[in-house]
Amino acid sequence: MITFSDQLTSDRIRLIAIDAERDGDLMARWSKDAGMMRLFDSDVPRPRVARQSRADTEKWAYRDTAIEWAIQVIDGGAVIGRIGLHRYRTSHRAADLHVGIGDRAHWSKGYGREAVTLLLNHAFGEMDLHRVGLIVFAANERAVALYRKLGFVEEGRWRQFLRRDGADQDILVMGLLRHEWPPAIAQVRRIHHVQVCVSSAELERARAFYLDLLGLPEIHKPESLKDRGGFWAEVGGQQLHVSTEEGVDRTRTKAHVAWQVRALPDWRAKLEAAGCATLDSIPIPGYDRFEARDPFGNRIEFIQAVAG
Amino acid sequence: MNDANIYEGERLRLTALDPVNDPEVEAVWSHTPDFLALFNVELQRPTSAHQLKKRYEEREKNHEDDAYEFDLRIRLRADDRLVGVLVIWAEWGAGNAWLRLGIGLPADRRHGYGREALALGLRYIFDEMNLRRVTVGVPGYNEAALAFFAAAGFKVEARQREALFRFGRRWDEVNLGLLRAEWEAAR
Repeated sequence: MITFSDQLTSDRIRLIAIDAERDGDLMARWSKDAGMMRLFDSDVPRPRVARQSRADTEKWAYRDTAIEWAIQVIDGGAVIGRIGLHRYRTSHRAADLHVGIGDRAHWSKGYGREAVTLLLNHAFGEMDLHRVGLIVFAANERAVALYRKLGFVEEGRWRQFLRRDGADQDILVMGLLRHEWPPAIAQVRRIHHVQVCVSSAELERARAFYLDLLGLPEIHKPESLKDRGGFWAEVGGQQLHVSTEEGVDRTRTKAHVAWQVRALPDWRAKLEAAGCATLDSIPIPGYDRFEARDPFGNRIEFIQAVAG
Repeated sequence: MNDANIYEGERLRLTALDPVNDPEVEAVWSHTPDFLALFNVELQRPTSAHQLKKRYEEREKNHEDDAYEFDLRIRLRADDRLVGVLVIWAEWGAGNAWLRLGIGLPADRRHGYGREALALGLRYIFDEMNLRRVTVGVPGYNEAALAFFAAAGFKVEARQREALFRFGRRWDEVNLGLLRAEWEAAR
């Protein structure tokens, strides 16, 4: 999820400064894929050597009218593409967007969409632009579909703008205005805390379960709430509030919180050793998971992302 | 062999920029508010001859754009007086030319200079540069320019919504395009 304060970072990627040496070398590598390069540029694709691409990067990425970032996958640190704004017209508060995932191995994973979302949040939220425009080859259907999905409006087409493989191709002109993009500031940043309840008689056992067995660090409650019973703990940067409530059969609801963990089998073994029954969840792609109930009936899901 | 002078029309001549003498004239234009608004969508400011000279000297040192940018001046054949600017920017890979055209002084407008200069420019683009189409970007407030290009056969192709801010409000930037076949048909 993208938050207003970490605009250039999402769950999986971040936009980082251009480094002429690193990114020039990458551009040179990508330039050898002519089929890919022709999606990005109407110019005739030319393979470049690193020295040329470094010079190009110096020339284009550091200009006043252009702002450019490298797209980095957080997990592993690979730089997979470039994104930026060009034709930045300060007095008009308008600029045009360009983006490319250079390495085909990283296509179709949603990185482009994530990078454009980050950039639009930055453009409208931080730079206070009124408009972000773009041009795209009409034949590049995947790109056109992505931009439409993000809210870009088709504003016209430059007819027969280039000729390739013996056929004329149009360029689509698209634009997105500030009020057409959900303002970054109105987005929910993240879940701050969840609350689970136990009866007051079980409170000490709940402390033992959550703080000792599961190992969550306790957060000290504010003075104003101290008398109300219960305790707070940290879960992966967010908070779990354990509070008291009487006369409720918690085993009757499937409402639950899912905790993302590493080493899922170890968690399962730990819970089973403590006498909590666990149950396989219905499989979903990309994750392993199981569910359990705490000793007081609250359902908890444990989930782990798996490679591939 | 065709020895017609492709730079010359009935009354006008397309020439190179004269970095020594043109700045004096262009500095005067830059203080004419409507020229700024009409010729260029970028934010403009009154500019001195000295500043323009320095800008042109810098550009001469930096030759790399020469293959793409054709920064021409429009002069009267009769007395060689500078009356306007014609800039062609070539996208060689695509076969497209971006074109900008401006007549500097209000007193020089409505004499057909723009039309004659555009005809020279288009002939240069299609017959010499061998490009396939021409694109212009016209600010939505410049109704005269929209009518001017439409009369020359250009078709409105895209309307970049609210891309510009001027005179205290937002305006569209309108793209008009002319294909080689359309130019030949209108010739």
